[in-house]
Amino acid sequence: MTGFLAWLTLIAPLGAAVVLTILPGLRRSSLGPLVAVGSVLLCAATSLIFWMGGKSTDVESTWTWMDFATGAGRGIELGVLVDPLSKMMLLVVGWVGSAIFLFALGYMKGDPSIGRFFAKFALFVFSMLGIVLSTNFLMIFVFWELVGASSYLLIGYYVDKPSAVEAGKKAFLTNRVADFGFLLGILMIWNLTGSFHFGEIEAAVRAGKLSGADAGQLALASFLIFVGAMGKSAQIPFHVWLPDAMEGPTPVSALMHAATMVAAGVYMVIRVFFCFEPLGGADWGWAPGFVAWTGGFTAILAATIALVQRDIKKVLAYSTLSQLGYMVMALGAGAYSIAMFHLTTHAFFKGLLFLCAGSVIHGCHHEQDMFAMGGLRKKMPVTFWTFTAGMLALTGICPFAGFWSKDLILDALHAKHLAGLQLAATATAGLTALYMSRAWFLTFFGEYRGHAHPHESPKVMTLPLVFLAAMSVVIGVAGYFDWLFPVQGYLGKWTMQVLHVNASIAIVSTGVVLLGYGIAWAIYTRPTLDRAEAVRARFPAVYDLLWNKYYFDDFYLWLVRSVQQGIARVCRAFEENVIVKGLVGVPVGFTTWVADRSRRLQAGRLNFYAYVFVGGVTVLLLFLLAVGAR
Amino acid sequence: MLSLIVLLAPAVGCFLLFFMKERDDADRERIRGAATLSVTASLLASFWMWLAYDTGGERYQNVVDVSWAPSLGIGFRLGTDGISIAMVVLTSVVIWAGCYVSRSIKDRVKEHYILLLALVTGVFGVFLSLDLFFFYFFYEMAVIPMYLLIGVWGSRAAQYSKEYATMKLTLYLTTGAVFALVGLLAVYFQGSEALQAAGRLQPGERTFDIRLLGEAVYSAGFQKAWFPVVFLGFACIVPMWPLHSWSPIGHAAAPSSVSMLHAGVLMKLGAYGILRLGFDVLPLGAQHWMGWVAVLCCMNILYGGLVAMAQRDMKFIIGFSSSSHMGYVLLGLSTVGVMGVSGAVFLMFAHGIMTALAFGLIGWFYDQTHTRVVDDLGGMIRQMPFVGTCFVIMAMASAGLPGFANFASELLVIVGAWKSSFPLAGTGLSVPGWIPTIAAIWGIVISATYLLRAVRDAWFGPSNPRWEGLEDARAFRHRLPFVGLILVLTLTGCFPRTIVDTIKDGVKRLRPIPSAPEEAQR
Repeated sequence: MTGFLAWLTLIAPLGAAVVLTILPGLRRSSLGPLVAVGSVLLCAATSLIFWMGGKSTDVESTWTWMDFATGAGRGIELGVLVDPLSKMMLLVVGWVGSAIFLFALGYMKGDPSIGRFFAKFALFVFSMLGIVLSTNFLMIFVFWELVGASSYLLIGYYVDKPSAVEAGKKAFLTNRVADFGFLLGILMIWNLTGSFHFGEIEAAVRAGKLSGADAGQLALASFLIFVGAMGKSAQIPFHVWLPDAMEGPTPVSALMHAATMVAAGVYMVIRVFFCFEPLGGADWGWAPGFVAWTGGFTAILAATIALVQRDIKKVLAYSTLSQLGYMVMALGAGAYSIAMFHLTTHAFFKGLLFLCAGSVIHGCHHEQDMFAMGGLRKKMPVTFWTFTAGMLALTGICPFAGFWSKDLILDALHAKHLAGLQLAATATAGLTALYMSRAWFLTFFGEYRGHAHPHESPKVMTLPLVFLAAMSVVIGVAGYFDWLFPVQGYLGKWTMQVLHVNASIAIVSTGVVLLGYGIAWAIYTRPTLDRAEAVRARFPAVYDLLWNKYYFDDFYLWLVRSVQQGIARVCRAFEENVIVKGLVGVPVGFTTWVADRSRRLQAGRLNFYAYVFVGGVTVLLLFLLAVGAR
Repeated sequence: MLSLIVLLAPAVGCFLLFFMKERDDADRERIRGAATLSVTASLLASFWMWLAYDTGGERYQNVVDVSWAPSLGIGFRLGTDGISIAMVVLTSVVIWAGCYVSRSIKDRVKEHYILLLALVTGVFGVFLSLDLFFFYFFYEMAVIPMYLLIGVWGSRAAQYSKEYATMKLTLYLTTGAVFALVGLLAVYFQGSEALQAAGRLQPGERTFDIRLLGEAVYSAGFQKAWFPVVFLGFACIVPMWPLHSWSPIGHAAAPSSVSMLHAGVLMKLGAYGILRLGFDVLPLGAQHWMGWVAVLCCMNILYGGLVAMAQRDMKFIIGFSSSSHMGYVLLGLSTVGVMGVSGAVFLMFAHGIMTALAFGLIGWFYDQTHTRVVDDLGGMIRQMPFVGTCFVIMAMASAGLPGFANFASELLVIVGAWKSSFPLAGTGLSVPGWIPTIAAIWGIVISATYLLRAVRDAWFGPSNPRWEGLEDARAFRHRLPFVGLILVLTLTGCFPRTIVDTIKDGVKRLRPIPSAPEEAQR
């Protein structure tokens, strides 16, 4: 029964996507989007059933996709795996997804191809669920690619807009480069353990059958797998696609580029944590350290870039990068259950913040520049209050959700004696407060600076906001104090050590956060924004560096335009000059030359034929004489 | 019996077309109808063969064996194993779609369809023949119509005229065939001798029967000496780098339906020949030499992809991408293991369908825009949403997206190649499997790059006033070929066992290679 439900949960969104694609009548009717919403609501319902069922709903069911032996008696399989980890992720995808789908009903209303949008959106949910439920590495890779593709389709949803099309392509290709590492890592793990199946790999690694040399390879393989996660979770240096991905419709940004898809990388590392776990030893512990520092750099660099953004969605995008950095730091510190906890709370409050931004954009008639907003507090009260709840959760003000999960990460770093990272994480907390309250002040306070007539959004959009805001308030407490779901205990084998919020760390981080709020308040609450200008004029070099995103994009652009395209042109020149003109042209030229010469033998001149005839007969006679004389 | 229907349906159709008149549009419609009918008969029969394939039963099914020239050992022998069924299904699907796409030909319709049906009869013949003589005969039969089809109905390809393209293609294909012919005769004489010695044939009797020649015992020296000859002959057709330069030009110059057959099916004849003659008859030679192929195929994959990246003509992009994808086929073959070779055959199938779709779609807009240069195109998706969507689907399939057969087959090739090792004959060195596999995986990144660029440049972006009034495929008969191809691609991609189990059964029964590194997988 559970197996059937799990398969149904996985297949339903695909069914919705297919039905919407092949039935144009349904796609154009107002019923079409509801089919997609229904398939996600189904996921929300089954996730609740699984979660309440506890151990009794744990199940693994597999189906041989291709019958080629890849390990002990296993073919290439697809399957569904319901265990504590996937249940928790299902809750996130199902509930945050449902809220965002409902919001999208309102947000996309009036779009001429709303049916097409929901078909792609449902396809994304299917791909995401495939990652969540997968039982083996090949299956996770299959859905990994599908998530990339649905992301491409949704970012480039506005096909007339060159920047949107470009952003979709960028997302797809950046992920493809990361997937290159991922697939290599998967194959290496297969080489080492002889299996793609998570359970079997875990057993093989745990059994300690790997020799010392294998252990070095395991570290390399784990690193390569983490490269895949860096692509999806947009860690430096693969982060460049995520801010551009904001070209997609806002519900897409909320669900994919904030709540779920970008968390897939973190989820995947948690899923295969047994590859990283034994690497804690002294001699080959470089992979977890690499993971932790990648997260640390991403967290702080992204937070600084967020300080100068003008587009409200871009602020949230860089904030997402930064928060993903937190999760990855936790992974590097071996605190897998904490990373999952932060993933969960983040999904709710970041989904909320994006939807609030969507509501603001919708209310201001597709204006995204915060400097053309202001004073929306009174015009959009629901959006204002829910945004505030989301902001408090994100910046980690007690007792909002982010406080618990973020402070546990700080504790985990502290417990592992990663002082440098702890410092970076604390500083990031302050920066987070600074850029978030900057956005908050600019958008909701002061006087309205734009030219539209802002209005509050309809109920179908505000209700999901209220739901997500409520969750942002309670989910952290509930998780920490084991009320609703005991995160650390529930996740069983993923809990390396049970952590508790440390009062001194919490006080320091809260102090830093409040400092961030204070600075923003001092700069951005002036009606004329003259102080903001003054700060910018004071540090032009810093501002330029941040505005140009540390020049990562420019560097990649140079790499693509000059290096890669240069190699391609060299190959093309080789093709035209060496292969076509040389390899083919030389034999052709030779044949033509020979033909041309031999043609002259038969020019039709009788006297020439007579000479040749006489000459030939002479040679023949001499030959016969020579033979006869012997 | 079924194999006879598959082969004869287009032949009969071709013959009947000679007696039809082409005076007005009604006549042309009748000609198109007759041609489509004949290939639909092939399609149904080949699907029946596919569904009725008995895994684990007789190796060669649907056998027809008629003695023809007993003094030389030639017989009209047809039959299918798992590998050829996949190829026959591929051919019948592509020609079925091609017949619909050919509706855009308005000039000399009758001659066009006669040649098209002759061509496809030849292709079916190659895949169905169990006799080396007819194998060769049908191969030549496929090449000649191709020459005329490109020369008469083709179009200019960048700086090359269609006459240049078709001449080059024909010369390459026949040169390759000559090599193959020499190898084929060597096998004929040597194999018959071995069979005589074993008492399977009377003294002085010879045979072209592939089944018998496949069971004869050849010395290791003979196999190692003759495999390169056979391989080179067929490698021209695959096409293997650096023998590929006929193929992109040929693709580009040909009319749509011919490009579809050419890239979809004709290129597969080479790899099929390598399997039939190289692997089944000369397995030791294959094992000895294929390591080098694993190295050369990396050039196909990477170099083909990079050149595609620098192309601006849509057909050249797809043309070089074909040569890149055929590199994966060669990589799969060079593993000489069940998973890799099955993956290669499956990829031949998948690539055939995908590339037929590509050329069909390019033909659709080229007929209206009269340019294929991507810089001139752009924003067309607003005018033709259906064709544009199909094109995006094609690009996704070609870039190896799960859900399409291309992904499943490339996965098999990559996984199969990873654990292989490729001995380089003559050097004593051996290339570990992960080296070409890394090239293959990087090739997927490259293919995604040029395909997404092509999609962006041709279809997306602000709508271009120059392309106002372009016609989308709206009528059922216009959409049918594209929908059919996508359906085959997704069904076999989502449920690969429908076809891979058949292929695997055929691959498993190829002559086993003693001491092959992946013996366990066989």
